[in-house]
Amino acid sequence: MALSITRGGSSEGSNPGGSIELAKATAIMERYTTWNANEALIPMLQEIQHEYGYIPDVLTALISEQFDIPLTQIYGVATFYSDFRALEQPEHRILLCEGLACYVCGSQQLHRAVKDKLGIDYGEATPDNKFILERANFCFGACQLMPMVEIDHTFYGNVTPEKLVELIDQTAQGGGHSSHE
Amino acid sequence: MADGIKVTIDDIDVTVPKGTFLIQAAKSAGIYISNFCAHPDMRPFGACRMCTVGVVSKWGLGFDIACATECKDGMVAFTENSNEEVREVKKFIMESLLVDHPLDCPICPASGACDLQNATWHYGMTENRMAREKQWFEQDYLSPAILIKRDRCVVCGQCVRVCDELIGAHALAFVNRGIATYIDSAWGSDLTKSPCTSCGMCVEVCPVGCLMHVQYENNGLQWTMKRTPTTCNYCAVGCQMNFEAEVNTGLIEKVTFHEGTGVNDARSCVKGRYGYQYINSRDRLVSPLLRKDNQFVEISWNEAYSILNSRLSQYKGDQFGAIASGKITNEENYLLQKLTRGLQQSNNIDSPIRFTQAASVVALQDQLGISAMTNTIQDLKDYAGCYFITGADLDATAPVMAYLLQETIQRRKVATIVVNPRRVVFSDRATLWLQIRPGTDAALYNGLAHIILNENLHASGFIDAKVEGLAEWQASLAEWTPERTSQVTGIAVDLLFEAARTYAQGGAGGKRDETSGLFGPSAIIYGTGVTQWSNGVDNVHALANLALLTGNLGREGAGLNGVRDSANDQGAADQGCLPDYLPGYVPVSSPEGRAALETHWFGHANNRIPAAPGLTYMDQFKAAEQGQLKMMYIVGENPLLAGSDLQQVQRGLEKLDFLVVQDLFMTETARFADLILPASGHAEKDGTFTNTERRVSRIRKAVASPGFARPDWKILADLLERAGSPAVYKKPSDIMEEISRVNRYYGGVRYEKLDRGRGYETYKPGLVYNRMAPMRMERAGLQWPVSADGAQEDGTAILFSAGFPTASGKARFVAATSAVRDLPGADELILCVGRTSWGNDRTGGMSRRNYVLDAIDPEPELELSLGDMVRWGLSQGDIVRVSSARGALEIKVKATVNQPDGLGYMPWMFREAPGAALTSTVTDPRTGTPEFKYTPVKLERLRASVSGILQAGAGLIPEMVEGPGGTATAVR
Repeated sequence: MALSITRGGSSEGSNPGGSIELAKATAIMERYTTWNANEALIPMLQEIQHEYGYIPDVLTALISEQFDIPLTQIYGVATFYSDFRALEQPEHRILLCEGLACYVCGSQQLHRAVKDKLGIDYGEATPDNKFILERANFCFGACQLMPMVEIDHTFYGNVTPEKLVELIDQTAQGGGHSSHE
Repeated sequence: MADGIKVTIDDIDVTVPKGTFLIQAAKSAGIYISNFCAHPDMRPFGACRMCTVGVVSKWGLGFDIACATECKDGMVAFTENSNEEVREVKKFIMESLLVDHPLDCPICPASGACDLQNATWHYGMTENRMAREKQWFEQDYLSPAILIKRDRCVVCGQCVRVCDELIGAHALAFVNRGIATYIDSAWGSDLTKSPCTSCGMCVEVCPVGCLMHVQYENNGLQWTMKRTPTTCNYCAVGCQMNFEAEVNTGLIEKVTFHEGTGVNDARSCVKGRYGYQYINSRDRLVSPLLRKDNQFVEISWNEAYSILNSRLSQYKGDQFGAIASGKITNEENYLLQKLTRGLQQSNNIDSPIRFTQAASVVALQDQLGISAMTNTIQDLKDYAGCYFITGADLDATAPVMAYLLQETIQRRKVATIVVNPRRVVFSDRATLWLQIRPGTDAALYNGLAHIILNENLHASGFIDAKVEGLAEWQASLAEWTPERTSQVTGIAVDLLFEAARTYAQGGAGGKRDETSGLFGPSAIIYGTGVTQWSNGVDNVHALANLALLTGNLGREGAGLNGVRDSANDQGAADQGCLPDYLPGYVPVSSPEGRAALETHWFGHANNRIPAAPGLTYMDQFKAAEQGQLKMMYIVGENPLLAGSDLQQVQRGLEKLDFLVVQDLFMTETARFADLILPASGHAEKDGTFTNTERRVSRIRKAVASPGFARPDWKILADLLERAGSPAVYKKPSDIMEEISRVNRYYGGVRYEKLDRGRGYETYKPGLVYNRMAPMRMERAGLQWPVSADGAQEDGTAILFSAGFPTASGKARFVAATSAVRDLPGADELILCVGRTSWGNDRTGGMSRRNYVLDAIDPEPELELSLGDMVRWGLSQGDIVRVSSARGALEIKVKATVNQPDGLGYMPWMFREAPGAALTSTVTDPRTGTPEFKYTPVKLERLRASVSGILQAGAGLIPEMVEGPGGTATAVR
């Protein structure tokens, strides 16, 4: 049975053209065709998230058709894990840890530094859609290097506000990795 | 149960079958364990923990959930009734659930039938240690049928699971995780754009008022309802359901379905659940209407009867014709037949089965001795090893049967072969989908038989004992080598081999049973895709040959199952509403049969019944046009949409001297009538329906008829009485009493017996998904043949288990020929007519009076492949003119990926674009069934649709078109 795809209201805003390059996704799916469909689902979603920065609904419908997994199940999995995103993400993601160790050793100052530098608070993105600031919802497990910052999957320890500003500048100039590379 | 397991619950000893869960064991011990997420048909889920019980182990009393704890021999368990600790645990769970639940019972439609409400009352939840400010959600419309108020949710997951496991639609999802979990469709889309079938089962299983039917949202309070158990009158599955009528208003407010009640076991489809609104409709006919000076005027019943009486005596014999219906009861069909044969001395009576399964009647009556479906749906569900589903889109024609079968396919991995040129829903569930070239069915079945014989997979023992004519038939198969079959049907040779082996072995790789010499059971299930052909009889013969060849008749999980179309199509045929058969399929040509019937009716044989077969459905209209047939009596049927050659029907209706139409509504046909009699609806009378499985089950009166409408049986009985018939019928059971004497298959059918369920064993999911535990289920009705006493007293679930009731006592192989059809021209398309959606039923007289069904299937659409869309330069929603050699109509097009190029598919009976105005006039000479599935047509693009909705009557009546000088009326 043909699936009809409807775009969620909010995802339309972030992707006004609504067009997605399918070639990368089909290449990913190609690699999993011999897998058990249920086992392939999560790694496939991870790769798609990595490639596109989020999980576009069209691609879940494609997976559903090709691997014969109900669309609802894919949607359930994609929303169950907080790592998967349904909306297009800004280019770079800054994660601040506010765990006990980091908190006592100045994550507040780091927060303020980002606020001053980029004008964004937790959960907000810069108007040019370059940076997003988020509070890490888990401990990085490196409390001896407090306070910790993660920018685009790279971890930085003993970060001072000055160093963070420097890191942000570097990232903006293309020195860092893109958040979904 | 031989291998019973003994458990003690609250000091009550109970013995249960192996694989039973504690919750079911407690139920059989008469103890109710409150729960939210347990369902007897679904895998245990353990989400709500509400069924916590104490189980004694060597370490003392431990807590376990009864829904997922399998009974072990000697197990001792305590529920809250006898154990304070268990009660405390359950109270804590209740507190947790009530943290966010709004307790807005006074405005909740589930109030009075809510598990949470009951539990809150039961545990006296007056305070909550975890109280905080409650979350609150707006209600959200998931589709035109279903809405959700998420703050009432207890996240039991029954809705998601019922959709996955029992319906197979996979339309609902758990979104997010932990406390943030909620229920939604994938990506929050409208459910009608998902695989949702709007069956409403998610709402039915919701233990609280979270999911709601839009239609029932404000429909009265639970405790003001009067419940009447009855049988559904849409499709031929014959689901057992309850009408819930509000006592003070006298209106039917909702329909409910009950677990454990035969046939459907609480499953429902969208039509059964929502499609009752026509009963309360304001445009019901409420008084007899007589045509006077081309106007309908209301008259009294007395007047109507005397007019009708004089007309009936005026037009006897060949001048009279009658058409019965699959929507009226057995009793009414029988009386109409009696009126036609006994009073009018004519055999001109037919029913709409002519267009669907007449080929089965003709072919199987001769070949096997009985023409009905051989097995039952529950039996196919529990025992079949392979389904061979051909020419049927079960999800559209018999949805609940489709749900039950897909459930088994999921659980037992039943090998499924689907033969269909279209990718129907079942194709996706199938292990093998044979995309056959339209019209080559007989060739395919012959080719499969050829392979089975060559590979020595046939049941020689069975054939030697019970079947004759193998040698001659085998000779006729010689030409159907796999290569030639492949060439004709367009199916690859290796797929033919796989299908033949799978079918013959009762699932791939099945082993032959040493003692019986048979493989596991395989069931053939077929629909109108097999019968609506000029060689429909051959197609059925070829299918029956396959079943005989493999010994798949007369045993569990096998058989030859032709699925009927309407609720009582089977019953209408059983009661002799066929021009060539008397009640009980006695041929009219048989002098003894006629004499016996006359003796029953008049006390002696008086040669009133003619020996020659009467006119079929369409032949009656032909005779009417030629002036031989002068009066027609049409009950519950609308030939002007439901016939085959609609132009012919109209010409016939115009020429009739006197037309009587007995119906609920002013139908298209009724507009031609001279006398219209208002009939009572399905909820307003008593009677019986016979479903596709030969199951006779009761329909019961739930509400009063509107105005002066009368039940059909009452009208017919009054007419017979006025005409001097000796029999007097005071109530429908009197008629059934007569049927049971007249009809050899209905021998022991009595209302009191139908009301008394006996029960039978079925299987429900055990600890793991594919392990099943036997469970008892209430029997619904009786399956004919029934006898008053003896072996068949309780009916016959499986036909032919004691041999074939033919003259020779053996079944017969019959050579089946494949028809050769003209290929479509270069600019033509093959038009196939059938059911396209689960939302519409026949002419829509009932289904289109309900907004849910109308929203699902609002208008007819011609489905075309993407290739054909490009070929004719069309885009979705364009209006095209479709013209055949016989007529033309306008219809909207819809692109689909489910069809091959060169095939167009459209619904049959929409009044906006009735397919039968176009279809080929070629019929099967043996049955008169038209070739609905093959009409070469031309397409012409007219315009894009502006409003999005096709105008009523487009193409058939004067229409509004855009012209250069503004809007003008154009007359074709």
